[in-house]
Amino acid sequence: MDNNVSSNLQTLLECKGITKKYGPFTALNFTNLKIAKGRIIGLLGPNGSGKTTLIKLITGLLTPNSGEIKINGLVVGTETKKMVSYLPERTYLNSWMKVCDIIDFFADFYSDFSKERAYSMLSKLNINPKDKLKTMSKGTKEKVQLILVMSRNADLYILDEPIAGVDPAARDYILKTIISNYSENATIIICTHLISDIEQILDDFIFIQNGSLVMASSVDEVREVQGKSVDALFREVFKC
Amino acid sequence: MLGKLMKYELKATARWFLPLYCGIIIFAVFSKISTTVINLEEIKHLSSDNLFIQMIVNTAMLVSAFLYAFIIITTIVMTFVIAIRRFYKNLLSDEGYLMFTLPVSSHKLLLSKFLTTMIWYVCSIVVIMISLFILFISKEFFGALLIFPEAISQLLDEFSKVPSLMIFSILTLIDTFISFPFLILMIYVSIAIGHTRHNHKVLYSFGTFLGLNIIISIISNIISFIFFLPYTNLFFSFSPVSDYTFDNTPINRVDNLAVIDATFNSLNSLLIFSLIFSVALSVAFYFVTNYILSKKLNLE
Repeated sequence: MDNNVSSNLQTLLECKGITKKYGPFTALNFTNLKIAKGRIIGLLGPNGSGKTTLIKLITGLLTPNSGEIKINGLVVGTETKKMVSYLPERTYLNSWMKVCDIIDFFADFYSDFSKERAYSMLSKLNINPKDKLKTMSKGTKEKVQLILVMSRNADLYILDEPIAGVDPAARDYILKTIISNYSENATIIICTHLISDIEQILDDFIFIQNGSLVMASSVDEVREVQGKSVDALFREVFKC
Repeated sequence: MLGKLMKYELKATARWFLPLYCGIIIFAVFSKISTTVINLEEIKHLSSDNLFIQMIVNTAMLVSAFLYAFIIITTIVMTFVIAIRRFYKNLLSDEGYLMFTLPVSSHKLLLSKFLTTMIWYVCSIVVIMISLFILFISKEFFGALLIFPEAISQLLDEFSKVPSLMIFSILTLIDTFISFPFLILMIYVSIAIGHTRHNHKVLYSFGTFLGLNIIISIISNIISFIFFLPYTNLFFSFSPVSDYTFDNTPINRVDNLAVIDATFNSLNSLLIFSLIFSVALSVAFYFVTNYILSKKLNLE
């Protein structure tokens, strides 16, 4: 069975029968999945379902034991890293740099990085570019990271728990930032537990559990055909 | 991209090394000035009459000598510690999420770390040499500098009588310089192997390092033993005390220089072998580390 999210559109990402094992434990055993260009997709599943493993495979932080992942027709590697903008769930910024140093760092390594956009977002969120990251709260650091990630003109944005650590008011701003900062052809994969918060912006969703794909569909379909929200469907499918 | 990576690596490490280097140089200049002052005739005259002043001067000299030794040792230790810390922290902890999603190969990440460490290694040696130069600068020192070329030519002259000794000296020097990169790569590979585990990563890194050390020393001991076996007679013949070997056979004492030459020749072959061994192992460490970083990365 092919689990194609909006298969009539151009494919951006393609997973072909990937498995990932940690020792004897199989973390991910994926049938085929295609993700189209220009979509906002929620990657949803209970804790330990393999969401982060899948993301790490797409970003090249892990190598699958079998199968392959292609982005724009290229197997994950140095070339695909140019196309993917990734926000991990943890803070990866070193504490001794200033915000403006990290902006220079990103501009140096990613040719699609827009300094202008980064500085304008910083000023909107009242973050001083001359501040050291050491002096910032966890929430502010997360905002800086999101700004860095969204200031790229990438083909694929992968956001792992982008709103978990910030207050509800900032959450709204961040979601607005996400929607307003990507081009029509770009795809965003958002991985989160806070489904109801992001449901309004999602086009499609993917449910995974125990490292396997459970369901992949568009949000509209669930709403129209089943008359449910994704949040309600999630609670039903993954009922404990 | 390697250049950019090294630029940031140098920036990240310079904030440790530059203050340290400044400290060394300032300390050397300060000690030099104070010893010069103490050695001035008037001061000497003053202190020779007063036991208390003499004691203070002597204590100060002793303390500053200890301080200097401490600073030098700190520099050497820092060069190691920072190399390890950068590798571990920037590549294998949370910062790894940034570094390994950059559009660069793991080779370049690893090389940028390694080459930057080598740059600091050379800089540390140069700075220590400069500080020694400052400490020992004097009229006599410049006098010694003037006869330096002559001394060198004399030394070369001596060496030409025993060419194997010269080769031995050069090989020993190379061996000394190569031991640092060798050790660094061995530490890298140990940390990388330790990090493929899911828990107790630091413990496994230590274990791997100790294990590698033991294996390498066993192998090199066996090789040296096999190597020296045929030469045992030669070493006995080199004995300055007795003209007889164990079984009381008289030793045919040939020209002493020839015996020395032969001895160093055999040592040289061993040194060359050990150099090749070290380089081969270093290359192996590098590639294993790179394999782990590119294929078996296991960030938390």
